[in-house]
Amino acid sequence: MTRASANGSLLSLAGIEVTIQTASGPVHPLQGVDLEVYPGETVGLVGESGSGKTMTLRSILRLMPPGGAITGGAIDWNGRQVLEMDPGELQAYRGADVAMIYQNPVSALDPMLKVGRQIVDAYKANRDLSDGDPHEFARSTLRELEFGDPETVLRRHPHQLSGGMAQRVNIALALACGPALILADEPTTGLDMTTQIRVLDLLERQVSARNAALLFISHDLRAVARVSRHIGIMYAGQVVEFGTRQQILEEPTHPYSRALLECVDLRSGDRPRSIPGLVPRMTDVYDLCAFRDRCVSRMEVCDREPLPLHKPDERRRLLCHLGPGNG
Amino acid sequence: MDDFPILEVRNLSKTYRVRHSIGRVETVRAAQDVSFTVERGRTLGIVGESGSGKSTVARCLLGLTPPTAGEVVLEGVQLGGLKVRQMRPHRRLIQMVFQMPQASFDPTRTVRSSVAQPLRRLRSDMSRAQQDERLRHVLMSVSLGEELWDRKPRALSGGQLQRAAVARALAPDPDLVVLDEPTSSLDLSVRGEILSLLQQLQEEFNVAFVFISHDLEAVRVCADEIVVMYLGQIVERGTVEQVFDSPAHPYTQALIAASRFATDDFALGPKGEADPASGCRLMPRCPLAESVCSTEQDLIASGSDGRMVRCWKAV
Repeated sequence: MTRASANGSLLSLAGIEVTIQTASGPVHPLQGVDLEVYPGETVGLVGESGSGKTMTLRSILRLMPPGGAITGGAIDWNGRQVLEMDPGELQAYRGADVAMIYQNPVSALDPMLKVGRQIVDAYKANRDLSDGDPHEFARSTLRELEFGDPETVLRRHPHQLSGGMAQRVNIALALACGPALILADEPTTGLDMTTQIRVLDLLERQVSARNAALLFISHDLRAVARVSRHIGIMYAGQVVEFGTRQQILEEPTHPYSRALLECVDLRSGDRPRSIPGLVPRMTDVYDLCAFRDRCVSRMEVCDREPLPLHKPDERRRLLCHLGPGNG
Repeated sequence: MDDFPILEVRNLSKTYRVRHSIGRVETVRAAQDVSFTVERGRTLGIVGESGSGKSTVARCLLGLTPPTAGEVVLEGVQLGGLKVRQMRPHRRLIQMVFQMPQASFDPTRTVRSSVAQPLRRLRSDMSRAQQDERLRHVLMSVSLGEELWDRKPRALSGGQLQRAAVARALAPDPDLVVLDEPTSSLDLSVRGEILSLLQQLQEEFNVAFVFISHDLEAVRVCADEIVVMYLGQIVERGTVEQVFDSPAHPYTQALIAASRFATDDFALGPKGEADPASGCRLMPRCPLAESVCSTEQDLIASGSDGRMVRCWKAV
């Protein structure tokens, strides 16, 4: 069933650009995003607000905000061009191929429908009849997601769920579609710390038990590091560094990645670290490095030449005039 | 200067009655028998998850909601019995910084005008010129660029706006500022900046902080003493070193492990559907629970170092 693309990746984004027309002029939230996800792997994207994380996920599903359009690049799904799909193909692709888990678990559910109905509907809409009984799927999946009494939960409405419960229901909804890739947009950000880790672990376990891939985004590097085998760092609408978890956490090369890591660990220095300066405005299109105004390693070449892409190994990517040897 | 603490909270309790449907009224004990003190120029951190009662305690401190029982004593004055008018002179002494800077500023006013408001309202003892001088001083102290003072809140980034919120809180020259999750809505790259600013301002203005957060690392950096709350009760209270270096209560241990994303060290069970109304509130989730835990647990000294713990096993 799975047709692999040329390099064996499940999903491949090449140079994705998004432009949103607003009343005060165009905004360019994505300025050439390159990203690959292989079957069954977990990839995490980290970045600050406005870095383009959510827009990256939305572009994969071609869910654009009003006035927004994908204006450049290509998205390859198993050898098929997502940007060329017709509405029918797109509908089949959303859900059954790629499902999404949203940041706010309660508002992502239909407030009028019981939990069980929502899971069953998602299952029926995205699966073949031969795939089994949707009700049995709902019960067993909720049990796997550590609901002690699935029957009661299935009869509840979303407002009767706590945040952690609602997010686990959202995971069940995504799994009901039987996708090969699950996109998760800050799925645990609003949850308590102790709940957050439990939900992350359940998500990871369920995704890997089904051999699905996971593309997980968060502003919290610690959450991303917990679930992802590969990590990408986003800044100003680009993935500026990509590598294995170990490469990013232990030998980050991009000055922004390094600065971000220092901000996470408040005890790393004599005083809390921060990155001086402001996140760039996305009303501009950046030909040169967008981080150079805040960068401690800024060189003369940064003000003159467009960013070179370094590929020190098969998966690792670095968008910086500092070569990979300077880590 | 004075030998009594700036703030003393004695046996504070707050009970809400929640009406579910006709005839069914549930009593929620949002804070139960909470006691702590804050010394001049020091920082007390309050940590706990949602529903632990952190924000209820903050609201009681500011007199935004009357406590059901117990006392809040600010600078030796008990705030509980005061009428609105009598409260006014004390308002200057205690100020607040809210979690969401965007939501805590009037979108139609300039930043300067919002920051000036507590000065105009609470410092009628100062002349207009003195107020303006003070306004300049606090805005400069938080390093907010002068070009931003006459902008509307939407023109500022989250970090810049939170600086303005800190300036606004400091403007009337308070003795105590309650910081409710001051860094939670900010990006990690500016969190450190706000935390260092707070430390620096504390020295400059000799102000005490109550720092409420679920971000344990942030509290650890800023606080001198820590109160850990669970379901309305204090479960552990001690200095930063005591609580972080050797957490005594199982809940504190779990929180610290969770904040490092290292739950393999110590993990709690899932949150319960119904929390126990008596005995140890954590019992259903606690891996160390025994039958004795269902009896009421008191906050007791865990040793001779002043630390208090609500767990018989930790003593």
